[in-house]
Amino acid sequence: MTKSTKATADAGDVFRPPPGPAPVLVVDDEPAGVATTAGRLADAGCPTAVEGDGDAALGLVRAELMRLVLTELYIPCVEGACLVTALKQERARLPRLRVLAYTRHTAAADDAWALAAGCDGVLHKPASAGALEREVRRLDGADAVEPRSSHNRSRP
Amino acid sequence: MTGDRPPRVTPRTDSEPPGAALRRVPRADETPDSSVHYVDGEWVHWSVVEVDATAVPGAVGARCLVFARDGCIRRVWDYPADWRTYDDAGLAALSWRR
Repeated sequence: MTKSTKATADAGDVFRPPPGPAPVLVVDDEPAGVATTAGRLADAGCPTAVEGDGDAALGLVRAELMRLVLTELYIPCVEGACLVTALKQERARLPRLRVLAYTRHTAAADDAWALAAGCDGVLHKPASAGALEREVRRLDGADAVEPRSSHNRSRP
Repeated sequence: MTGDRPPRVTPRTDSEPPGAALRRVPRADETPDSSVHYVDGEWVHWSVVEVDATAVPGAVGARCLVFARDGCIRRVWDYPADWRTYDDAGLAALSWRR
């Protein structure tokens, strides 16, 4: 089992990701939520780092230590009301960054807001471990597997 | 288990693609952006729509596809122009792209 790591961007205590694939940064302002999510990903063999503070998470991503952020919605940071928007506005510098909203906010308006903020995907809590793993793998890229090849209706 | 799968609502012919009976027929006054519906290999119903993304922070292109099922949304930037011609299996595969 891959252990999750408490990440911090504080000076003098810089998070060093383990060798191998970049960890998934799990951001949630509810400690129980972040522990559950990180635990499920760790059980799936996905290295994770966790953070509850939007500004610290922003620092980790800007240091290019993370390429996939799995975050609750409406996590504030000093640059605005939502971490997602702050992250996505840096696409020129972080072109490979992907953001998945894993959220307890499940109204249609929340979905629309997440998409407008730039999320690459949205998954409502609570999701099964399998569903969570699938969406993370899709965005993480290296292990993404299309279940079947494309079929075009117009082909003979 | 395939034995647990629900029966199809409407019998289909061999020439009909899977899920075609569940696909909504667009009205004449609908725009090209209207959503397409399909069923994936696990019998989950999805809708997919092409949307304008010019105002989205970090947009990779001017437009993107948004796949949605109950509790899950996928945004796909990399897709072919003729995605509307894809059958259910093709759309399901497309939803795995980024």
